Amino acid sequence: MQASNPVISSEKKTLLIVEDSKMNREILKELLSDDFNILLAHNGLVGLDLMEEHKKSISIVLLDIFMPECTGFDFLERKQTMRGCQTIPVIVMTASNTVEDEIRCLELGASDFISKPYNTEVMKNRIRSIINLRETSSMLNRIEKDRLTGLYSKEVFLHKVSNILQTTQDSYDLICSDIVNFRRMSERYGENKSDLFLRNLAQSLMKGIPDILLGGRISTDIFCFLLRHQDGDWAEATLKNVLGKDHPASFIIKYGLVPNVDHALPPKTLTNHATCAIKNIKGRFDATVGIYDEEFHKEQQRIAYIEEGMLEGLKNREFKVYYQPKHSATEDVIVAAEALVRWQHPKLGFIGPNIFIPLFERNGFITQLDLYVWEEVCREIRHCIEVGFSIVPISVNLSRLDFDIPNLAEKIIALVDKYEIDHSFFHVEVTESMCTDNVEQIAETCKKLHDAGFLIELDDFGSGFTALSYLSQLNVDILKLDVSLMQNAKETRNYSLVRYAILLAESMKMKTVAEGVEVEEQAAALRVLGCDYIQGYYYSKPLPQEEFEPYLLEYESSKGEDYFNRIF
Amino acid sequence: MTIQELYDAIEGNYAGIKRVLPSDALIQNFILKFLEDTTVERLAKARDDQDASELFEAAHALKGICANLGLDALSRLASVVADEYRPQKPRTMSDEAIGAYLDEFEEKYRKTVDTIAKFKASL
Repeated sequence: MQASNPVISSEKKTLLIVEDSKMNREILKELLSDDFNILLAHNGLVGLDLMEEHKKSISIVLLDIFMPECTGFDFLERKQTMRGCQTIPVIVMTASNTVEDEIRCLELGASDFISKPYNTEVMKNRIRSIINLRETSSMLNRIEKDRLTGLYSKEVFLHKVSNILQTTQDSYDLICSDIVNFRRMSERYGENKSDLFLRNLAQSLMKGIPDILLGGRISTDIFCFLLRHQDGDWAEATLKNVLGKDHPASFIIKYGLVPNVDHALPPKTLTNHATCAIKNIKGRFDATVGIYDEEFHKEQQRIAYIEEGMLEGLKNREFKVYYQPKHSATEDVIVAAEALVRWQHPKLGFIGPNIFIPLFERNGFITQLDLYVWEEVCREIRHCIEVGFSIVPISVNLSRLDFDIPNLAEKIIALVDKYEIDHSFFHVEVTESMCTDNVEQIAETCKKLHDAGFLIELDDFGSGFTALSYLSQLNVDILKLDVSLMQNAKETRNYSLVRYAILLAESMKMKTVAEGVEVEEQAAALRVLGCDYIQGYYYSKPLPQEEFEPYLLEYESSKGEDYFNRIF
Repeated sequence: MTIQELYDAIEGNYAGIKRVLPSDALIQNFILKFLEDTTVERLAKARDDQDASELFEAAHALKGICANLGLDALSRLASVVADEYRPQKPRTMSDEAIGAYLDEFEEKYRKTVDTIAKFKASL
């Protein structure tokens, strides 16, 4: 160790210089000793010893890279493993080292570079600003606890999590809590009471979460916690009861859990994953904890993949319209068909509507897709008319979001008129479940379409949301019995619900279609009960255009013309 | 002889050293210490031993020292040597060619030191 190292006085910041050239050491000492306490080390090993000894007081290290025995790289590498030394900033002094050297230093945690020859003022300013940066951030560490909840503030929490993940190999879980209805509840209870609730929640969670390390307040009503990894399905039961009984149950709290966090991911990403898992269970009353596990992650990636490809897919006509025939219950003849959409994804292959429709309903893309399907159906009908097939009416689905399109009815009518097709070739399928908020708007559009000659089919009838008032409000022409009614009847061999639905339709002068009909027994029962049309695998699966047209031909040859006119 | 005149005599960069060391007194202090610096002996020994890594380290150290003292020409020559012997980099020059740079460095170094020594004697 250098004999010249002074006793450290408290008012000046202490600076450790690690440099093998005596000349350079002395120049630096001369330049900096007015402003700093200087510790000198003539090689890396001595530097490491001095740093360990004075780690509490050293504010910054100036480090040369090329030294015998222990190089600057070795020094930085060793420093990362020394407790209490990791956060001491290092400025690397270079005589224009290569870019590779500089990158390696940065990777090993260096904060900055100073090149030789030293520009005294520039050097002093850099040293001061780096020391300041560290001290302000460690000051933040001391004071930045959220006053209301006692949790760390967001930045401090993320910083601490990052430190823990980088310096240890242990397994951790991350949990986010979110009060789903916080805004509404704070309006109802007022600020004081909701603040009190937030504090109680934070404290209960700090106590109730097992092996907890620290908690942070990420936003007004979102908290985040880091804990040692717990095995098994502990979270749902523990978190459901964490608040006890004396808290207002009207605050709905959901949790997102990221088990076994990936140490390589930034904490911000981890909290995003947790909140993403919360979003996934927001609408589900029975679920308290959403888990962001491997499977969920894959699912998220798949969703991202699908969303990335949807616009391109529409442009490249990867969405294919399939037609599922509807047959007369009493005569063996096709009377209509429903247009259904499938996606032939260039990379993921065939994707069913059960996967992408809910996704597109969430992200709003469904409106573009629905309009695309309308146009495809128009083309198909026009094509059939042109080649001389006797086409049957096709029903096309509308989604709830479609009704937000201004002048939807006018747009559909204009589109159909552009292809010069009679309106009676189209049925519009709507579902009662979409009549949750803007029934008037939906009813108005349905009326316009109905008055213009389109038939309105009410899909999913009997699936659980039935408000009978909608039947007249929406100008329903055809009632479509939900698959569940048919399955239920098949299992229980009890068709009474189906019977009442058909009677209801008859009394309101509506026709009925049963979908999901798979076997002869169901078809026979429906015939007896007076159902008008049957759709399902019993007759045919949904067919692509190239199979649908031959299907039409086959029935055309066996039937007289104008058959559907007689029916509708 | 003033410090500035000394720098002119040794082909030093006076404006450059002024940025490092703000006063002539300080510059004088350190330029005299250059006489005691032994790094150049390390370089000579490494050259005799044909020790590439030692050649790099000594040349690299001289590059920094000379740069800090505003001895730009010497620093540039040392830089050429350091780059030639940089670890994990293939050599690009013949032994004769790099030998010529080393000769030039040593000669210039000798002249510089002689001039500084005369300056010291005149004080």
